[in-house]
This record gives sequence, C-alpha cells and structure tokens, in this order.
Amino acid sequence: MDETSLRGLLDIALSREPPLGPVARNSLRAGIKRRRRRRAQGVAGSAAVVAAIAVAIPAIAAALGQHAGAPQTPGGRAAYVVNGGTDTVTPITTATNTPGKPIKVGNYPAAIAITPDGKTAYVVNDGSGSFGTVTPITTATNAPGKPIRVGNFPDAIAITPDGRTAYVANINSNTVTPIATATNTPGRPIKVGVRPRMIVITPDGKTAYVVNQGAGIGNQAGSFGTVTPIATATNTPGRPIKVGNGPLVIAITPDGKTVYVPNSSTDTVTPIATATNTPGKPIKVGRIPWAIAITPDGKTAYVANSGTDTVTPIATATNTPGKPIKVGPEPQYIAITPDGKTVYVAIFKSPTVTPIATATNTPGKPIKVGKDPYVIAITP
Amino acid sequence: MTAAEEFIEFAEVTSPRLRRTAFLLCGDWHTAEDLVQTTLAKVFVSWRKIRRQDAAHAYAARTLVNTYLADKRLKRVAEVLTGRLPERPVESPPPELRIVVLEALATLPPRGRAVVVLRYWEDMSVEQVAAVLGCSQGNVKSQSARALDKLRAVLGDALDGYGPPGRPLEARHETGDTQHG
Repeated sequence: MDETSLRGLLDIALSREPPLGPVARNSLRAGIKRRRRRRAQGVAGSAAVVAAIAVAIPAIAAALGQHAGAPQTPGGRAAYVVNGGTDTVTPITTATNTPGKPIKVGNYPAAIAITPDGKTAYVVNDGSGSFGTVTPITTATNAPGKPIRVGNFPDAIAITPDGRTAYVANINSNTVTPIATATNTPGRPIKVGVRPRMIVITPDGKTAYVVNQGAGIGNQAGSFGTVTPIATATNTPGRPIKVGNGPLVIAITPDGKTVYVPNSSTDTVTPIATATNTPGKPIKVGRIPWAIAITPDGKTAYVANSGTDTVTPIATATNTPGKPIKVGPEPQYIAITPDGKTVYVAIFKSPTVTPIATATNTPGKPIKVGKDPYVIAITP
Repeated sequence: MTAAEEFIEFAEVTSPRLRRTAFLLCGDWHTAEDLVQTTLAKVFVSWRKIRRQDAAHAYAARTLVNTYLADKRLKRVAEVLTGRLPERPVESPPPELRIVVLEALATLPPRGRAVVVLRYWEDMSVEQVAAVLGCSQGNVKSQSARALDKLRAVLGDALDGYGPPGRPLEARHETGDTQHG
C-alpha cells in the first residue's frame, strides 16, 4: 500500500460527511469557561512563582510591560498582574505578597507599563470592536481613569524614560499611538510597518524602535519584517529597516547602541546599529527564536529558541552566537537578574523556570511553576 | 479584531479540516465534532500565545490528537480490541468501501492510528508527527510501518472487488527508512 492509495482510502472513509454544527462559537464559549477556571486555579500558583523568582528592576519591569506581565512600581512596592480572562488588573503589595482588589479595565487587557515615577500604570486593552483602549491607573489609589482610545488590536506599550509619552503599537492599524501622559490624550497615530508587535525606546529617550511582523506567513517571498525608528521629539517615523521573517520581539542594549531583533521564521537575529539605523549581518540561532534579553552590562544577548528548546548566548561585541544551552520544551520568555549573574527562562510546556549561570552558561535545576508560564518579572 | 473575533475566524476556517482528522481518529462524526469542540476550547485558553505563531492549525492538530489519545486511555478498558474484521455472512452484500476502511482503521492501536492519520491525511512529515506525539522519529517510523502492515493485512482481502481508490495498492513495503520515503 503506498501513500497515494492510502490517502485515497482515507478520502473514501470521509465520504458522507454530515453538515458541521456551530463548532466555532460553542468552542469559544467553552474556551472562555475553561480559561476562567484555569485563572482561578492559577492565582495560588502565581504567588509562588513571584516569591521564588521575583527579583526585578524597574527597567526590566518596564520592558515586561510589552506583554501582559507583572511589572512593578519603582522601589518595588507594588506589582500589577494583568488578568486577560477577567478584564481586570490585580495589584499585589510586594512586602506581604498580598493581592489587592482587582481593578476593572477594558476588554481583553494585554499589556501594561508603569511610568518611571511610578505614579501611573497604563493598561492596554485589545478591545472588542474596531479599536482598543488604554486604561490609566493611579497607583496611589489603584483607581482606573477614563479609557484612552487607540487603534485596532493594540498589544504593546512603552513609556519614554522622562515619562512624558506612552507609545502604543496597534497591530491591525499598522500604527503607533503616542499618548501624552500629562493629559492622557492620544496624539495623531504614527504610520509604521505591517503588524507592529513591540516597542523599545533608547535610554536617551530620543528614538522609539518598533518591530513590525510583516504581512506574510512563514518564509513566503516578500514576507520580511521591518523595524521603524520614531523620532520622539516630533513623533515622525524614519525609514523602515529591513530584518528577517516573522520578527515578534525587540531588545536594546543598555548603552542604546544596538537593537536586536529575533526573526522567528528565519531563525536568525538581526542586529541594528542605532547610530546609522542599518541592519548588520543576521546572526544564526536556533529554530523559532521567540524571546530575547540582554545582560545589564550589555555584553551578552540571550535568545530563547522555542523550536529547538535551547537558549543561544550572543556576544554583542562581535555579534557571534555561542554554544546553544539546552533547556526544557518551548522556552517562552527570558529575564536576567540586575546583577547579571542569572538568566531565568520560562519553559512553557514543562512547566518550569530554568536558571542559567551567565558565568558558565550552564543551566541549573529547573524550578517547578504553575501551568503555562508566560512572563517573568524580577524585583530590584 | 479582538482576540475572540480572531479566534472565531480561525476556528471557522480550521474546524472542517479538524473534524475530518478527528473522524479518521475516532470513526464517528458526533464524537469527532465533540473532539473538535473540546480541542478548540483548549486552543482558546492559550490563544494569546498561539496567535503569535503562524502554526495555529498545527497546534490545534496536536491538541486534537492529544485529546483523542487521553480520551482513548480512559475508555480503553471498555473497548475490545481485535486484530481482524468482524466476520460477515457470505450471502449479504459487501459493505460500503468506507465502512471497510473505517473498520480497518479501528483495528489499529490509538497511537498507530494517529500516526497514519497525521502522516497520510494531515500530510505531516515524520519529524512533525514526532513533535505532535512527543516521541522520537524512529518511533514514528516503526509505528507507521507496523500500522501500515496491519492495514495492509486487514484490508488485503477485504479490498478485493472494490477496485483501486486512485492507484492500485502495491506490494511495496514501507520499511520506515527515509530513502523509501
């Protein structure tokens, strides 16, 4: 029996197919129930995770704001956890690890960032219509303010070091909305590339770099992603910088000189010199590079390869990849301690967090955590 | 588009194909639809992560197979596995070919059946099937070879008189080596 004849037999077995019921709607309803159930079960587990690995700095916390995490106010007094399933944000007093009353935000909150002075948390809500919103939360009282209207399917936010502007990437509008934090009013949307996914801002606050996923699927021709630099003084976009296919995340060195973009479909990382905004030679990493973090001294970028279950260290001085470090199945997120000694990798499928000693690049014993670990935040 | 709208769009596009895969796994359209619904509900729970990838269908197919296998483990005790087709009286007219094929598939162990469906219906490579089932490529090849041996044996006589479903069944033996591909 060869493949063609077997395929033919399977086709015959599939004849007399009855009409399909409303499976999509029913499974959405069942899925929402399942998600609520899991979130409820997850609360106890997540507290344990925070206790075990919560070490973080505001800088990392701000970066974490890109995707629903638990960023903290400066000084680490409070952490905010975005609950995508219940449209709320839970404040946690870090001194006692006690959760406060959930704060109601918009539909499908997806990301959060806190101003450098710690006074306001901005929560990005995917929304349920043709536009999303941003809910400002006054951290002193944990009261939500009036929602700020942004573009279609906003999914990432970054705030300038001076705290004056919050930039929100709208995936389906191909724009970035600047929000003046003094008045919480949105500015004119800035045109960027196709499907903007994440934003980083240079330490001097002069440029915001937006990574655009691109239109294509996988490695189709012409499906490359781009990075759009935005001059924050004027909110005007610069010329797009071409990177590889399927970029989803972006990281910047602490000195602001280089931006690194993992290309999830090309299995490379593109370095971009910020002085000239030109891309360097792509650095070969493992399959499906999914997350990236750079050590505080700026010497090493760690890239999580979710397709090969490895972490590749890249020496930033030479942009050469080191030997891949084997971790568990589907590494999902990377965070580095402020002293730069340990890299924590969230392993989505085990579910564990693997510590890596940066001195030797050897993985330590995995730490068991709750289901589907997604992001890690470390206290100062 | 919101996450929910995006998910609905994905689910509507992917559920007909998923249901056919599910049917080949379980052999019953009602169970197939239930399997798909459960699968998609599970997919929705992790939708935020999945939609960042371009491999949503692959993820759904993997969830479907794992849901089927988990379900199968629970029901295993209640089932009588036989290596041969039920005997039929000689006089009765031959059953429809689709029934013969389904009965043959039903003789396969759940994982072997999953390998056949994924490789020959979902058109996955050995590597992809190994990733879905969480086993080695060698294991996929041996499961595949064993399942085909069994199908060939079970269908060998039963197929006489039905004619070829495209190309005639040939005697080529799939060893599982890549060069035989």
